[in-house]
Order: sequence, then C-alpha cells, then structure tokens
Amino acid sequence: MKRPFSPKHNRSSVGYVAGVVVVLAVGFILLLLRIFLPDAFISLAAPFWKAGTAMDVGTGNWFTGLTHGSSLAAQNQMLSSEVTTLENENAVLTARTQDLTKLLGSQPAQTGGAIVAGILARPPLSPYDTLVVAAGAQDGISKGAEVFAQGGVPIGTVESTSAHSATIHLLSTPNTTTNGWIGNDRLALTLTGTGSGTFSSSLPKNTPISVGDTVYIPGPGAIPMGTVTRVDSDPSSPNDTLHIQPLVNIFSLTWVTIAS
Amino acid sequence: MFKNPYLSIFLSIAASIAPLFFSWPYTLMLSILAAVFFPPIAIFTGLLLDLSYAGHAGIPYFTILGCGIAVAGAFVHQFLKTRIMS
Repeated sequence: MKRPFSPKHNRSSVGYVAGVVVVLAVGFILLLLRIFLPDAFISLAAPFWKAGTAMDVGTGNWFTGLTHGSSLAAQNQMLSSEVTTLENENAVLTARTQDLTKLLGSQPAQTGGAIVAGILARPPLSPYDTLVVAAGAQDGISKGAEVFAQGGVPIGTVESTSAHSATIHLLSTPNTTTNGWIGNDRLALTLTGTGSGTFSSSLPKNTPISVGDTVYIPGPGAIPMGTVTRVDSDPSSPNDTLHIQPLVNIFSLTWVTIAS
Repeated sequence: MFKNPYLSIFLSIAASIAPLFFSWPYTLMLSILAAVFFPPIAIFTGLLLDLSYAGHAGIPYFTILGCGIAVAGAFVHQFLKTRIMS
C-alpha cells in the first residue's frame, strides 16, 4: 500500500541527509588539514588530548584515594626508601665507570644532544602503537631518529614529523622486528613486536633460557629492555616461544628523549 | 528511545570526539552504538582515529572498519525504523 506523504517524515529525512553532508564535509576538511597543515591539526587536537590525560589522572587519583590512607603512607615510605637505594647504587656505578675509564685511558663517546619531548597521545588512546609528541622538525627532530624512554631505554623511532610535532613508531608495533640479546651469555635473538609494548621471540628448544631472564637491545651497548614472563613450548615445533614484558610502561610515559 | 533525536545527536557528538579522549576499544564501542542511530558517524570516527594516530605509509584500518560499521549500522537503523513505523 502506498504510504501517504507526511511532512513530519519528510522533515526528518531532510535533517538526516543534512547530518550526513555535515559529517562527511567535516571529515573531508580534517583530512585536508592533516595532509596540508599537520601542525594545525595537532593544535586542534592537543587541547582534547591534554583534557583526556587530565581526566585519566584525576580518575586514577580519585580511585587511589579510596584506598585506606595508612597503606598508601606505608607504600610511599617504601618507595622513597627504594629510590634512595637506587640513587646510591647509581652513584657507585658512575664512580666505578669513571675509575675504569681513567684506568683504561679511553674517553667516553660523545653522545651529542638529545631533545626532550612531551607526549600528547600514547596507547591505548592510540590504536597503532604510536606516540604523538609535542616537538617537531623545528626543534631538531628528524625522521628515523631514535627515541628513548626514562633510563635511556630505546623504545622506537620517529616515523614522521611536522614543524612542531612528530609521530613515533614504537618497537613493539605488531610485526616490527628488532635484534637483541638475552641472558648473561648475551644469546642473540630477534624480537617481534606484539603490540601494547610487548614482544615475543623464538629460540631453539633446549636453549638455556628461563622466566625472568633479561632481554637487551642495542643502544649504545646492550641496554636492558624487558624480562621473559613466559616460555611456550610446542612439542610439534623445534623452537620455544618467549613472551617478553618491557621494563618501560608505555601507557604511563609522559616524556621521551629523541636523538638529534 | 530510537526516535529521540537528542539521543542521536548526543551519541554522535560523543563518538566523534571519543578518539581524542578515550582508549580505542571504548571509542570503537561508542561508535558502534552511535552507528545504530546515525550510521555515517562511524566513518567519521574511524577517519579521525587514522588521521590522529596512523603512520603516513600505513593502511587506514579504522577508516575501513568505520565504513563496515556504518553499513551494518545502516541495516540495523533501517530495520529498527521499519519495525517502529509498522
């Protein structure tokens, strides 16, 4: 049966079409901005990213505050004590390094300047295991530069830059491979990114590895980047699969250093 | 509830800015919900995710996923609209 014309339905159809046109037009404008004016796009998005981060921190603090105060105080004291211990160990190791340098008569390599960049967006906000940082080509960042987290642990490389921002491709991006070593014997292995900051690798069965072994990547020298959390052994495969948890928590990074 | 235009507008706005506020699984859920009321918003959300975070040489997975969600949302939207009208 033919449906009689209804002005109300006709108005809603016009509104729907108008909505579709507006959404697609805004999407097209954003696409053009991203391609031709990437800094303008980042400037538009940055306040939202900062607001989102502030919301995350505020919500986390609120839930943390619900915990009994005395347990928080005890944890704070324990962490302060740990920090003091680590600072002292660091001072001892630094002094030892200097003594060895004098003894061997060599100069430490000049590493050159590094650029500190604040992070605007990180996983899980970003679904691609990328970081967006608030420093770009005008700050001295170039495509392909190495990126380090706290402690000098390499975490990725610069994938693209604009004048005042850059996108960083993390080493843990799925299907990204990195060469490294494992254990005190520095056995060579290839790390494969599995997303969310984690890695996997495979080694022949009967290789002397165990859960808790430290994994290193080059950076200069061998830099510890994670530990083995699980070893999967399949009877039909000649290799064991290692699952590696990184030392750096990419979900809580707030700044990185980028080699200039 | 389905005929409420304010709900449709609210969900569409929430889904469109979610890529900049929430982690991507929640953004995906919100865009699926919004696509039932206004299917094209899923394309916009996927596009914004890719524009914000994808590398230049990468495949825009979330734009493609957004198109798929928009098509599925259009079917659900049409089904619900027909059921309500009949």
